[in-house]
Amino acid sequence: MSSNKILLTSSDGESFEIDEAVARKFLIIVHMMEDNCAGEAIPLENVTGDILSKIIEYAKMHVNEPSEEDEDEEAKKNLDSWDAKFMEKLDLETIFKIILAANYLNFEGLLGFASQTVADYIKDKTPEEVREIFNIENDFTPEEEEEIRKENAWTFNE
Amino acid sequence: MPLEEILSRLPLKSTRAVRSTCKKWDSLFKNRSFISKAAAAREGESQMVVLMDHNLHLVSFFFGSDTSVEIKGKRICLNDDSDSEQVKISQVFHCEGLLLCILKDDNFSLVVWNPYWGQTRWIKPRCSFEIPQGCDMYRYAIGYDNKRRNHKILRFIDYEFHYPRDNVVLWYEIYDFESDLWTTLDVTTPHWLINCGNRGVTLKGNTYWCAKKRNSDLFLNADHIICFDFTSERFGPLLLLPFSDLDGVVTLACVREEKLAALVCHEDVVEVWITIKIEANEVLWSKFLTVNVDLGDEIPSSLTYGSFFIDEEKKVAMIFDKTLDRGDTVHIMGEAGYGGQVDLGEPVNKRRCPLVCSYVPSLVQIKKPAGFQRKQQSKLEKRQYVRNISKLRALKTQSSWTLSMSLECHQQ
Repeated sequence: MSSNKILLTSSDGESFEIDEAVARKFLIIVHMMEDNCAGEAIPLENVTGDILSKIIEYAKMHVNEPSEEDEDEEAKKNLDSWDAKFMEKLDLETIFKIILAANYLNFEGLLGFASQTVADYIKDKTPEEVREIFNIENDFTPEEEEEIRKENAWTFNE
Repeated sequence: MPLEEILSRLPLKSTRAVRSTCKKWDSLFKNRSFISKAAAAREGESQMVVLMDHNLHLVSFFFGSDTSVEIKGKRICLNDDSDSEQVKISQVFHCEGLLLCILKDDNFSLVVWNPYWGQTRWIKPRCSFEIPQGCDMYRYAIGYDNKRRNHKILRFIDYEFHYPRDNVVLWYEIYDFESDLWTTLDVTTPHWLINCGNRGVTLKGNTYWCAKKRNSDLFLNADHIICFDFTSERFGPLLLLPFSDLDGVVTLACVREEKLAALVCHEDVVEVWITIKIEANEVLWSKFLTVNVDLGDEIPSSLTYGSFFIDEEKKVAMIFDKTLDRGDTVHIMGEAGYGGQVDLGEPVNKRRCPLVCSYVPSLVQIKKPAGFQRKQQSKLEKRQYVRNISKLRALKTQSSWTLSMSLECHQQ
């Protein structure tokens, strides 16, 4: 079975042939295959080719994800290092697109990892900086903003 | 949709900045769509809130072959770091994700705090009553009305300073979050006595204390528990504690928001029972643990006053205490006997034992007052208030203690 190939087509018409084991990382593909769509090219209307290429690259590296019982610390360490380099090369806009695509593909591992990357990036930012990063307009009045400031004055400093 | 994946991974201290970003993000935090992964306890981890050095700490315990402890965070004030130093917390009580903090200020202000998403609400009592060392003579509890899911605070002073009986000071008050009013409870001849310093534990919206019959032997330790029902705003009957030959101070703890645990330490034996059924009018107990802790000097006598929590699955009790050199520590008691200590560090305050309460992150919101529809106190309430204030003032002149009293009238 692992020798089977799956053909994926991105929204802009780019085709990717990947091993079935890699494609099974995307639960949406698994469900399609269970519905007997195998054998034909699978169109992915919501994912562009450049993003799909990145996601497949990540999925290939994680196709034999070490289980929690796996005592190969070296393999885990190498994979963590590869993950960090993979994410370092990407700009924030690309990471956002990867999050949307991973969510659509139901690729839980990459969705979690990319989301954690963004969370780590914004965790110490001010509201103004967060708005700029996410292109959000401030719809609070100054009074409402001050009320949140007072109401949320306490926290556990982790 | 994936926005929640990002927001759920933010640490607790980022909550205010994220809430302030825009109304959509603020409502995401208020809706019950997710629990922060940062706040959720991992498997094998028990999260507690511990009061040390007049401040609150989020502490994690990891049970395994070696029990370890990690102090994950300390309460700070984001507005001004100097404010963190100014606010001192003397007592803390937990109710399903909310912490009622009693501040060590002139008026013993109350703060209700949801640490998960940071909301606080400051509440001023109508008056305070203290002895020169600064001990607050009041007892406190936080709970909720089960019918209307409305949170309330109970506060009472009920103490016999001297005989004869007409020196009894007795004033039970309840604060309603929705109306923003303190009201005197109709408690005039209680059948119970809850000793000063006895801490209540809130379970499913109601609070339980160790107590004894009103006119029992002055030196008898509390041998019952009693429940205050925040829905009916009444105390229930006295219910027997399970210890057959009680000769020690019993402390209570909450077990996973489902049960009560009771602990007593007497003559080097620690005994813990938990409830298999608990209601305002009925309680059934089951023996959880008995540990002989005859270890000479390793266990100071203050163990009898420590707060504690249990892990039912691991069959362990963790008792908070002082070391012989006044550091903060936790004793581990299990089926194999005494399991050693875990140190919590060297506090500035050498006298006070650390105080633990169980904590579960919760999205519950603290209600705000109803706004322009503010109700007024009834005439009866005003008369009761004046009468009780007069009693407290009279006691000030009568008692051999030097009592100080500060009054603030927040009515009208």
